[in-house]
Amino acid sequence: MYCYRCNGALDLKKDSCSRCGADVRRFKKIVYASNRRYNDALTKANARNLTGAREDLLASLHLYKKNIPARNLLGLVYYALGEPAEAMKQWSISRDISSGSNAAERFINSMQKNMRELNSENNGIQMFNQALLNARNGARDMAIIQLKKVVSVHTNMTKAYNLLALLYIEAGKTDQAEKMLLRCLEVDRGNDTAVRYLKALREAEIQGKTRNAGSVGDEERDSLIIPVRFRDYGSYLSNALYILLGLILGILIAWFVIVPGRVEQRLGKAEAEKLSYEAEISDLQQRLASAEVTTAEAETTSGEEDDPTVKPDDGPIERMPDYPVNTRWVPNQNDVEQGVVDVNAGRYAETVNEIFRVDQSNLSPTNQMHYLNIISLLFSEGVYQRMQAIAYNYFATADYEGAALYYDALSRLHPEGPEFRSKAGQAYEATDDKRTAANRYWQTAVLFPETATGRDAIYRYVMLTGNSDVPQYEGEIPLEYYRQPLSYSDIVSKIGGPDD
Amino acid sequence: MIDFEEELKKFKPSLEIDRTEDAVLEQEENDMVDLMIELMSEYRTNQ
Repeated sequence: MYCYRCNGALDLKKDSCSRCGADVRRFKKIVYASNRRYNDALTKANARNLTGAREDLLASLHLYKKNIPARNLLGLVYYALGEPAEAMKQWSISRDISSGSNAAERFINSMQKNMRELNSENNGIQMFNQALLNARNGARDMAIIQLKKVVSVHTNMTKAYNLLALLYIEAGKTDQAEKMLLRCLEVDRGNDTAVRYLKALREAEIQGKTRNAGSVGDEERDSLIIPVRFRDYGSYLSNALYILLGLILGILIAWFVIVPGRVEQRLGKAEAEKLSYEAEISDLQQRLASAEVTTAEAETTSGEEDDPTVKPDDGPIERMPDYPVNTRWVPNQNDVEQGVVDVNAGRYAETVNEIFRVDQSNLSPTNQMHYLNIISLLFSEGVYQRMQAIAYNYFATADYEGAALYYDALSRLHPEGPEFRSKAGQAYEATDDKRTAANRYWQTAVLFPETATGRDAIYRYVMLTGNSDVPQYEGEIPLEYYRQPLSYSDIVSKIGGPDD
Repeated sequence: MIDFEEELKKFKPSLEIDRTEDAVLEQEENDMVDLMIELMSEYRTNQ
């Protein structure tokens, strides 16, 4: 025992504090009274009269609030009555009063170690509070369901038993109410509420007022409506299993229902795109065919007035023979691939005959690339020399049409060489195609004025046309127009070419 | 006979565990010793 004033240790045989001199007679009487109530409570607690023990312990603490054994026992009683939070509260206060060798410290640690049980207890308390709220709000059926769950898990929660019994009594289910009250009294023999309810039930039973004919039917209905299957709050494994099953089911639904729909939708889109491209290709082919026809008609109707190299007073010149219209060539991948096959097979002449009549502007970018690759292949394989030999042979055997064709082709392959244009002019002159011959001489003279072939071309032009001089090209000819083979179409568009 | 409404009023919500700390802080408990000290103090003051 410690002094109430200085907290010094008291000698129980003396009436005053040896440290501060305070009179402790009344204080000792109060403490003794508190201890007596504690002893009574302990006896009642041992007899499982928890409510009586709680009342004694509360009285003991009202006398002396620092009675540590009484406070710790009160916590235990609360815990046994299904009130773990109240128990924690009492033990926490006890620990604050005396932090030494206090049993409250052990109780608190024990509870905090078992968090799962603590959470389960808390869930039970929350559900009881909710049930109480529902009962007050008139939702008694819901309250009964919740309380049945609570007492099935927390079998020592006497408040829940009593409230459930009260609701059963109100619903006329006296048998079930009695059952709950008896279970409550098994936990707490001194529970005055349960005793009072039970007494009222017994009296009513004797008087035959509370039991009626429909009570048995109500009981059966209750057992039918309310499933008597309770779930433990701590069944995390089953929860995880349910979630896993849900996920698997969701994935299966997505796989068998959603994915096929998406695939079908994509296939439909691809089919629509394919049809639109086919329609576009068909339209372009029609436009290409009509453009070719229009070009052929324009060439037949256009006269020599379009040729800037021939003077108006040159007199009638025969119409330039057109090259045969290349109707077989269709700028598609197959023809180009066939050209590659021909080159690889050594059929250079056949390849050249087809390829050199193709206008690159009519080719797709892919075919243009193949076209240029084939030309490169032809060079690398010596077709250039072979064509030269063929052209020479044609010329030597007086097959001037063939020679003109090949020399024009060679001048395309090798635009930097003036001799092919000049030779082409000579071939055309031999076939009496004076207009085209004059054109080739003029090209040679304008493009290569410094070379011997260029000067020879001037002489031939003058001799053929009877003009005193070669007409100059208007403007400066960019070097790249004839230095770079790939820009030859630009030369043709500016000053005319073999196909003009 | 049990009066349901009256009996229902006697039931109080249970203290939840996560409210324990607040409940401890809100606790203001006076015992007989406090009363005795207060009386003795008043007695001395009057003298």
